[in-house]
Amino acid sequence: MKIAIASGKGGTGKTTFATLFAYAIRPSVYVDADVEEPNGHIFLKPEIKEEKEFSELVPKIIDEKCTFCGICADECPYKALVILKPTKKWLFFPELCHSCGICAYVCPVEGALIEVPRKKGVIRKGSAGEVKFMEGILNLGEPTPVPLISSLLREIDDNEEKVIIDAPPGTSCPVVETLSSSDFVLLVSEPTPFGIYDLSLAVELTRDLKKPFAIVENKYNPDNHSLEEYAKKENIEILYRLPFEEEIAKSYSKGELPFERFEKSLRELYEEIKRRVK
Amino acid sequence: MKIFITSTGDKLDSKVDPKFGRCDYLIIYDTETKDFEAKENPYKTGQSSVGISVAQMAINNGCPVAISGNFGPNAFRVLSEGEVKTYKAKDGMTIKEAIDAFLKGELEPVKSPVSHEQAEKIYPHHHHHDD
Repeated sequence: MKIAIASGKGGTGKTTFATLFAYAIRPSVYVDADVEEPNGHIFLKPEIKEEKEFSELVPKIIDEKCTFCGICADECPYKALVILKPTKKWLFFPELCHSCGICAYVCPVEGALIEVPRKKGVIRKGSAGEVKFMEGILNLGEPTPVPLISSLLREIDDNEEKVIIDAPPGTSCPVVETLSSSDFVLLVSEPTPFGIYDLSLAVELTRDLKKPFAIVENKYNPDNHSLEEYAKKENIEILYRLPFEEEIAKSYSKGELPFERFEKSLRELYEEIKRRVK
Repeated sequence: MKIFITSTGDKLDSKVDPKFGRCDYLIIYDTETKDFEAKENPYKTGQSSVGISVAQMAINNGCPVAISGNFGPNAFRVLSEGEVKTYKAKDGMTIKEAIDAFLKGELEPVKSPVSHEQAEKIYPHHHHHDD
């Protein structure tokens, strides 16, 4: 079973919760799909055993064959290619290229535009005790993390029983890609106006994707009922709560988490989700 | 010679638009015929790469000179590779004043683009956070 840990808003405790959860239900797999800012490694402190390059195809123009007709540049939806007819030059902006391949497809001259691999990031694998660890790291300035995320998610062994996927924040394509491959979604939120507003966007998205889901309330304060009221109104269950405590914040700031403390209750949460998915 | 100028309006007494890629209008002025053509910038509200597209317009229209306020890094690269010389109009100059100043050799040539960070400060706009 793959459980994605998501949230509309960044900084609500996805990684805190995802790493605590993966540890509690070990043996398990923790996958950091927040490839633009992976930070699960800070808490799990895995030993990395394997690193694979992630590359995608980008255009390369062969000057001797190119007629500088400009069709590739006209068709490029991202303006990553520029053909300067008067000076017979071509320019390529790698940070704009989405590797869609249209340029190579439309080029009318055989061999004038070829596609060559360009490194865009890495996929790393390792382990932290009984937690298998996987993460993707996208190079700075790349236009989209989606291809790296899908490549990372394809690396997950289908025979793995317990997989926790730490999703990127937000509700855009990278999140859609991550949630699409999961069996259950836990949306981590905090009881603040911003937290609840962004949660409502994530709820809308998760409903559109037709994934079963529930809320995890982080920074839970028994005197603040705002998230509870939202959940009630929307008929969504809050399946787990992490308390709002200075101690947790202090250990977090040192890259540590009280793993043992929540172990038992998180195992029960896993069993509860399992019953729902079946 | 044709001069490519970013403008806030479609007349010669309109002010020069300091934004290159996201300017309102583009004026192409012919120094021989003293005629000009004004076009609305079709890329003004584009999501990204607007500087590249506008720079390409200057090249495709055969303009060896471009006048604006600031040139972004991508636009600057396209213009310099396309052998278009870039000049900075002073704040508040009209198109006509900018052309006259250029013809008298009084406009400052632009040797480097503004960085993405500077551009963001001067003209904050929505960055598309991936499609």
